[in-house]
Amino acid sequence: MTPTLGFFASSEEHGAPRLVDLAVQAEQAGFEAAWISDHFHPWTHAQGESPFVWAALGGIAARTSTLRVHTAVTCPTVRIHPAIIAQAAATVATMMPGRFGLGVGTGEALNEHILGAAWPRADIRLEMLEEAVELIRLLWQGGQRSHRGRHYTVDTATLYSLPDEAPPIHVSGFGPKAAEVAARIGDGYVNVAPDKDLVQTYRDHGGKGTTMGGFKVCWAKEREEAVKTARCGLTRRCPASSRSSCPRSTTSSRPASSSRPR
Amino acid sequence: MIGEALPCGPDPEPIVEQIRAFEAAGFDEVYVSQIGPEQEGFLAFWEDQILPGL
Repeated sequence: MTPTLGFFASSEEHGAPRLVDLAVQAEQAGFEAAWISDHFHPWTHAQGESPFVWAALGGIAARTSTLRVHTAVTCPTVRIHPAIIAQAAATVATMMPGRFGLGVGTGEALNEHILGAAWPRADIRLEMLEEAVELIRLLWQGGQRSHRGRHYTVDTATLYSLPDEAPPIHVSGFGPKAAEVAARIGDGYVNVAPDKDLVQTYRDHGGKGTTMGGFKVCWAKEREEAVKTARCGLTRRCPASSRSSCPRSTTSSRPASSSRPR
Repeated sequence: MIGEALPCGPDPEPIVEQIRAFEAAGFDEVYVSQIGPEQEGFLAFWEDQILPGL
């Protein structure tokens, strides 16, 4: 059986109006679902964009009617407090009932370092993610909630605007520990490599949800043109494990604003 | 090489192969991203040359 096919909209390469248009076009082209990435910085300056994903999602919600859309992924631990992610995701879910999914992960320093806090080790980030997801689900229950955990405090908070049905939370995991956490706390699993062993780890630890994978391509009429586009700094070809410790995007190749590709 | 690390160019086969690789690894859903500004060209290619082959 062919897997469900989705369009992966890159927030590193497109501004919010373009992302909304692409979601509409993807729906028209027959895609059932879409991913949208979330960054503060793109992977490289050459990519040139990085809009606030929650605003783009509002536009996508308004302009699409059947497309299911998942953040792939957002990091609800350092740059944005999980209580605020809970509110943002609940609001988007009210705008596209049954069509929004919250994809989360442990993040990259590239995006999360901006507020100046020390960048936690991978095992701490995973622990933070677990507490963040617990807190998000607590707030989604509605009513006045408080939480005092190892990493987060919430004081008598009430989320007033809630969808009838809470969105699913899919958890990315590029290693076995994260895949185990995805099985324990997630409604599904996310990876960007066709890694059978990690899917198995997710299943072996009780993960019963949807497994989602994604990859990049560069279509063009000529192969040379496609290779050039892909190579021109539009993607950083480094493994996820090292990517997560890149402090910021490269500084050498940002085009002048007047000549930025649109 | 970029051209070997990810499907590049007008040929649908490497893209279909990659979708099948995710399927074989046990993924229920597969999401594809087109690098660069040629998004409309990719979507037309997807409808004309990828979907019929799946």
